[in-house]
Amino acid sequence: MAPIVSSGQYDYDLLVIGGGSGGLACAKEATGFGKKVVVLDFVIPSERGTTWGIGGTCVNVGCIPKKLMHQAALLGESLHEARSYGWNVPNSISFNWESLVEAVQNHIKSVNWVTRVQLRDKNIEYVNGHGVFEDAHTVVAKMKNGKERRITAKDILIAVGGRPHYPDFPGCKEYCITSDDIFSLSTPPGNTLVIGAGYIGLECAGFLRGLGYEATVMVRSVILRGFDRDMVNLVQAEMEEKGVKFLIGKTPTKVSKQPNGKLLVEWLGNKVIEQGEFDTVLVATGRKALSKELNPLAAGLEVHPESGKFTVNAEQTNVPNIYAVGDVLHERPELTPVAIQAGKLLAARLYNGGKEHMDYDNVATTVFSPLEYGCVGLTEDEAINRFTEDKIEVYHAYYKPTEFFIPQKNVKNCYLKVITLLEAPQKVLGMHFIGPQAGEVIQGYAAALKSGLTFEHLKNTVGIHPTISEEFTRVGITKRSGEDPTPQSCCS
Amino acid sequence: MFSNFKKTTMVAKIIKRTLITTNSKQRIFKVQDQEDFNKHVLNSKEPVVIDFFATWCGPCKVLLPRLEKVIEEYNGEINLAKVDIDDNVDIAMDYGITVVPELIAMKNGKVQGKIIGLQDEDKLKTFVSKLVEAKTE
Repeated sequence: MAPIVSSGQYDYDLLVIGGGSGGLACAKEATGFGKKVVVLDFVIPSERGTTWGIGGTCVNVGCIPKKLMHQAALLGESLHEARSYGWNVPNSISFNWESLVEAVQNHIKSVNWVTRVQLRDKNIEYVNGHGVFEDAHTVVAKMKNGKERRITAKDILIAVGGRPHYPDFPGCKEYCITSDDIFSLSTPPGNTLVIGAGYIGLECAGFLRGLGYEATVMVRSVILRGFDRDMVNLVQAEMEEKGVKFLIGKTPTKVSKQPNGKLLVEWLGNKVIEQGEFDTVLVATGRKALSKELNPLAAGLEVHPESGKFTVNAEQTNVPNIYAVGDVLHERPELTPVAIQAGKLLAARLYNGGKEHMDYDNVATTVFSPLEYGCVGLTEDEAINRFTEDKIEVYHAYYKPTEFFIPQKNVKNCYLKVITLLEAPQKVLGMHFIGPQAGEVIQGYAAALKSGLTFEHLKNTVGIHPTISEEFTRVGITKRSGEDPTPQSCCS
Repeated sequence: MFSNFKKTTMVAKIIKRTLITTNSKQRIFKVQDQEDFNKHVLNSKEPVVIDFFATWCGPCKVLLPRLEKVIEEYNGEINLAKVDIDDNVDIAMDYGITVVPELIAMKNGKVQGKIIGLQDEDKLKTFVSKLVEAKTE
């Protein structure tokens, strides 16, 4: 490939701050349109000193390692179930945390490498430096060795994402770990307290329990805020049945280290201080955008006073040549595929006359709790708020996955829900599913929803038998009817 | 990925390097950095097989003992330089490494041949013998 020359007075056409999913997607797309692009990526070590390579949160300390550890937990479950399917599984099966961490980290490193190769192949310059604004067209890259490099660009994309937020109580930063650290933890976590019940907290508690560790989730108020309440209650029930403990309505007040090396956690609940001893305390009380670290004022950038994030119009900030995608955006879903899509469309609009804008509605997602929860569209509460209870219909059903019968797995929490407008042809507003492989189930329905799925379509769709996804084509009981949504069974 | 984890591997590297140099007169060694690469690979009097590998790569681990066996048969006529692509990203990038393992045959600083992926012993012998023959040309 011939060297690409920037088209104007600047060093580059596009400077991307942050080599995560969103930034890299936009950078790759922009070079495809003949633009000269540089990507800055730098990982500030976590409080515990953990760092990682290029690729951002998802690859290094998010979706990828989380899914792998979730899979490790599911395999443990399968090993036990295998006995009831005729496999002679020895009683002494055991799990090795260090082996899992090594395998997960090796996979991550291989992805880091592939990313570097892609950048080289696409002629994108990569700078391992922390980008700080000097003005609207100038960014200073601060390298690890103290060296600085001043880079100018016509357009700048902020894609720095976020990092775990540490709540403010004594001992928190000193003794607690976060999702930044858990996937590379060199020793087994042991009895773990997870503070926070968002999806990250629940997923971590879920896989740790599945791997055989004791896990407790401390919840200040609501579990999985923003998700459908009926579904959340079942996710919680399933986790409890698998041995995860929940401390609800408690706020941590102090963590200290005991002479025996264990962590003593104190919390406020019911107006009295309670305490417990744990080997590991993981805080997952939300994430904070890395906007301040950019020195946004120098470029004239405004950040939202509460979230500290950027409010954008078609990914454009208040400074016309500065754009933002991904987790730094105010009130946008913090999801890798959202950032990727927004980054790609932005590059197409900026450099290829594209007209398409990012549609942030109806983005499907999945919580990889022990029994997964996948959803797309509105929750029941959101649908009621938007259309009123009289104008919507909620179809629901409990179901029994065929493969659950033989090992007599718990089917009590396998449940799904379809929320539609009441008026024919009953446009589907939201779909919710709890069960194995929920992400795989819901992805296809997300495409259907995008295409204007109605309940009539769903009813006229022939299912694949025997699958769990076909349950969506069979659902017919409405909440309004008060009929029992539980299926017939032979025993139990 | 923990910082202390990195430290231990570095210490291990240094120990390994010392052992190898004393035992086999630098026939087989691990490249430490660009300077080391320039000195012992680019300016080597003997032809060098460069093994670009990664610690996370399974096939690389299988290849190495086979390769070492073949190289050792040449009794110092040929060197083996092992390059960890994560520790030496720039070198790997300069040589256009995309997939590991990749072997590059080099003589007088010039690339004589390349071979990508896991190889059986016969293929490795052919690859190395070609490099040795290139020496006599």
